[in-house]
Amino acid sequence: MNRAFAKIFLFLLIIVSLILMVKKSVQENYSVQGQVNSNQNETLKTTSLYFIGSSRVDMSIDKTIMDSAFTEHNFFKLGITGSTFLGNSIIAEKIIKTTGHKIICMELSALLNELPESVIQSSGSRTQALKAALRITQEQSIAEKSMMLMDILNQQFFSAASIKGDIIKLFAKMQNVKVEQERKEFDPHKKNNLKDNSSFLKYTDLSQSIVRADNLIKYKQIIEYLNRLAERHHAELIFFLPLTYNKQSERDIVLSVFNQLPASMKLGYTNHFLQEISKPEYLYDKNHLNKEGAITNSRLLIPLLKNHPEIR
Amino acid sequence: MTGINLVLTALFLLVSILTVSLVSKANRWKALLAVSFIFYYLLIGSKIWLVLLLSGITFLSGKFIHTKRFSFWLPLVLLLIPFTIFKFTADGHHFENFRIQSLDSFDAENWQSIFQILGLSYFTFNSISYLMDVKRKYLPPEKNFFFLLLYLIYFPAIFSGPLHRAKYLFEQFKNIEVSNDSITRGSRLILWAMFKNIIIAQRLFVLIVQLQQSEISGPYYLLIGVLFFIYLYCNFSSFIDFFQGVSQMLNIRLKNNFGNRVYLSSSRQEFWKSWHITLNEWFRDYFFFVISRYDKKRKYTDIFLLITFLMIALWHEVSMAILLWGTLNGFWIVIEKKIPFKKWPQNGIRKFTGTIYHLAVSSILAVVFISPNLKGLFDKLFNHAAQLPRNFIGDYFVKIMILLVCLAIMDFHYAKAKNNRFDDYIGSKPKVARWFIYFKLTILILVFGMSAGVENYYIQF
Repeated sequence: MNRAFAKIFLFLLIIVSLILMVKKSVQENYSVQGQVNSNQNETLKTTSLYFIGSSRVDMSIDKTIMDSAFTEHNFFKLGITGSTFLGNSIIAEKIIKTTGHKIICMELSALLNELPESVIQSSGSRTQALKAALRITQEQSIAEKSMMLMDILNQQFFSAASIKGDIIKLFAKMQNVKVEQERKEFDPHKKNNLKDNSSFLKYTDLSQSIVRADNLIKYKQIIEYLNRLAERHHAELIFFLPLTYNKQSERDIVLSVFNQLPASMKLGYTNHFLQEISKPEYLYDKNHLNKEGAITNSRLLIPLLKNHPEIR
Repeated sequence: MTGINLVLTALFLLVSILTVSLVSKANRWKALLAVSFIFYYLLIGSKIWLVLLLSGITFLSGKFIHTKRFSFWLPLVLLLIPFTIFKFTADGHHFENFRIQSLDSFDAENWQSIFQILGLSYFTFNSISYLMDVKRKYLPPEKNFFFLLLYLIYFPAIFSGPLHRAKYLFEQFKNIEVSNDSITRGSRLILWAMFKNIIIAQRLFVLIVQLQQSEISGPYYLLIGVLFFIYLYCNFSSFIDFFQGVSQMLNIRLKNNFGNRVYLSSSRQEFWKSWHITLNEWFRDYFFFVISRYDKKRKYTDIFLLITFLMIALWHEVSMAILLWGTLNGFWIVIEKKIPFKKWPQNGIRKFTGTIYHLAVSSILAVVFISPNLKGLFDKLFNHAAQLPRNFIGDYFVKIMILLVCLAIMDFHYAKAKNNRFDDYIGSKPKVARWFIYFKLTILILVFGMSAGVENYYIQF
């Protein structure tokens, strides 16, 4: 048995050395600054208005329109591809703890044990992101927290071991070609192949709570934690819903959570808003808005936000 | 959940090897049961109580069936209730669910969700096969509940099988051992599985989704079917390879579920002999043979075959598209049985044209299988002009080349391995060739690997 382990150990040692060699040869002298930190450096006004969420947020809000509508606020859009409710909460926690008055609009999306790289960068380090995840889920059972940690560690392990990006950079370096960095904020696209609007949130959905409150305990615990934190740090939390859904179960759950929140903690959608935005020509794909959709949504959002007691 | 993460599996292996090494041979199965139970609990949480309850029903029923104090049908119904609710209340279409990565960590805890248990399908099949074997007196009822529990929740087999008769695993649970040979063989299978899953299958799936969302239509749409057919093989067979490897490290040899190079089958009959072997054997032994007993003159064999395929289809999902898929599969087999392919001359040509024919028809069935909407599929195939995605070569060239190279590597090794399992095949190679393969596969995984988990499409069934 020891012989087999020794062989595996030697094999892994060679592989790890190889990975380190490749990574070192393409290492660049810059570090990616967390979006949250960089955003904080730009802070000039007394109140900051944040929109946190997934790529759905990124592709559904036009920052220029929001900037011109909220001239008294610093407006920040933090739509991170692959970010789930856990990732959103980690970013929200970090923002809440910063100085100044903050209004944080947070997308109520699926709660999954995943942390995209951008969320980790925003947290400062992997350890800090994991610690934040544990803080946020402190009331969950040991089994649930263990699985969450394992899922996140697994994802981290793979991104550390993979040399896919490094090999591309290495080839580019050899051929003296500059590899473009992935843009942090991608523009909503114009393409649209869709004909139906079934993936959109509907006004009638807002009166339905399909899942019982006692089954949404994980969401409730996280929201209560963030709310307690917000009260201590001069911050307000406003939850909003994704406009589009890929899966009915996500819609059922987030709607049920949303419907149980007090009015002061959520965006007050109107029938007019949802009717105006729910057009197939505004879709990029089933789950994201395109450029036209983002412009319309941003324009429609302004009155909703300005009417909210926390912003008014 | 659509796959198993590597950290969890590595932990399972470490803890299992450690605990198994610390106890006497007679107690090793107990150590393995404890580890399996803890890891299964981590995955399904408090629903483990339902699993324990069903295991208890299986254990007691086995005893009573053996002494004929109990009808077989009552435990059968009890075991099938959770499974049936699980199937009939499943949300959405399997392809769509898998595409957006089943969000079970936030699934509702309504009354049906109690039955949405990872591995319930395989647990139920194994329970039924145990009871049937006891009823048929192939096996005496197990006296120790915990020993039976290990068979029902054995961690490497619970997610997607392979399915085993209790007798097959009972014997091996008594001989658990961690040795140089078991570790080496297990590692080989795990490496091979990761190559097939993390590179080929996951890249194929991304390509399929991209093509599906493109303008591809007309006969070109069948390209998605071909890709899905190959994808399903790489995805599912690699998952089985992976857990065969995990199990092999403990010296427990799980059954093969796929024949090597099944994708080159030249007829549907040949295909089904090497595809999801243990499930097909289960349906043959515990369903087809049971209903065939009522047909003494063998007049209705084709109808029973068709019904069996419908049952296999329903096991996948309760939907019109899947029922159509099952019916087409059944008819295909029945029709093929009437044509004596094997008697045709020119074996080489017959084999080659047979492979093309099988791949073509399989691709049609595959697009039916993954289409949530039959009308939409009909439109794509017949109401749109034949076209490939815009800039097909420009957008897809590199992706397709990576896939072709990796598929060629896979097929090369399978051609050399013939009917041997990968660990046996590698074991027969000279030392240098063996280590070259290890490094080649590892570097390919590090460079072209897609994600951190061994995914399995069939985990949702």
